[in-house]
Amino acid sequence: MDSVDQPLRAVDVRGPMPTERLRLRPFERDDLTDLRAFDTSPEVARSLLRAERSAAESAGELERRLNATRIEHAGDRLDLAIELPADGSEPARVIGEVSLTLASSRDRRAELGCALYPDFRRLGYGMEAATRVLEFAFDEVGVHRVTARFDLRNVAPARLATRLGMRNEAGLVHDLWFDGRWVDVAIYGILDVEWAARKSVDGL
Amino acid sequence: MKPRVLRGRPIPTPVRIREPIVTQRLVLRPYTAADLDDYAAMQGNDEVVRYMLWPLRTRKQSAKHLARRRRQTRLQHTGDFLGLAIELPGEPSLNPKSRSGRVIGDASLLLRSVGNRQVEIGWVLHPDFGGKGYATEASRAMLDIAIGRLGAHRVMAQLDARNTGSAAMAERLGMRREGLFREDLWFKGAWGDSLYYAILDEEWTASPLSSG
Repeated sequence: MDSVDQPLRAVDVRGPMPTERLRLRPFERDDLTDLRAFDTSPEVARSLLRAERSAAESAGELERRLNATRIEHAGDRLDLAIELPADGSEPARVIGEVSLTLASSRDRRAELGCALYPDFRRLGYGMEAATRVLEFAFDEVGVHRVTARFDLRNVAPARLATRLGMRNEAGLVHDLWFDGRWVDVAIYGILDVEWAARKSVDGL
Repeated sequence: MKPRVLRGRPIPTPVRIREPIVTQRLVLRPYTAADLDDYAAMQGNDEVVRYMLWPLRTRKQSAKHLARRRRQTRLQHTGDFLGLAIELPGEPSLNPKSRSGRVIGDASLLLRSVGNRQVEIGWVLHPDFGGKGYATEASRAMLDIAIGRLGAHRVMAQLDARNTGSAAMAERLGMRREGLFREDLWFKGAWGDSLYYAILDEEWTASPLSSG
């Protein structure tokens, strides 16, 4: 496979990307309330290895995400809300977030991020959303490789990455200093050919 | 790179190399303009660059790169790079006017993160001088600088997975093989795998290879 024959495609996400039960869509100003609940959870901060966000930080982060809908150059980051559509009297709400960062255009390499709000875990939503983002990365953007990185002690993302067909490629000992301790970081990866083979087997 | 003032807080114990560091058989020191002949001989050598991310360099490109190397003597902020000449005293320089020994390799440290105290180490040796443990000797001195002087908590190395000589050297230094990244680099016309090695400060300090 030749990098020159397979240039990356610049992709703008303008509308929602539906999955079986969810909609992945660009963030909107109205998402601030759902985002705040997420950003102020100590459990979330710990699992994502970041500090809890202040109100101003959440607003700033949302502002950035409103425009994070295009992947073209290295460093570009796509941020999408995972929305559970309205059901009867239950209004639609944001239950998580996914991201895809183009780490290198020459190497056609991207990084996947996926976080579900605590009340919506263990229902397969993460798998559903992340599958759609991988599909987007490989089929629409044309990346060669996607990686995911997380706290090595955190079993949920490891399980999700494994179910997605990603390979455990590295365990970086004491890669980060966070919240008064050294954190080991796991890196998982999957290649375009592997994703394609997996799709044909699963009939996805 | 951003100007120094915009690069966040500095490391509490910065390192600036002005004087030569003498090891058993070698001298590690900042480059000088007189090193160009030796430097160009390395950068223009096929074997040297085979597993490196950069291309073969002409003499002119080597001169430009050497000019940059001469300024890379300080580790203080995230992104700072230290590049030292590995000089073999007694071996005549390719530059007849040079008063120092020949530069047979390049030893480097990159301060990847001040907050996480992470440093990346790199080494390059002219193949005519391979097999004698010079790269290991130079890298031991660089690990001493990174951990003993700069206060790095972890030093890592990334290398081409086909570069078995360098992988063996990383293991001799006591570095742990932490990862193998499949096809993560588009490299000189093909996808390449890369290896990731690392060692922690307490592991290096306890090693008989460190200066303690």
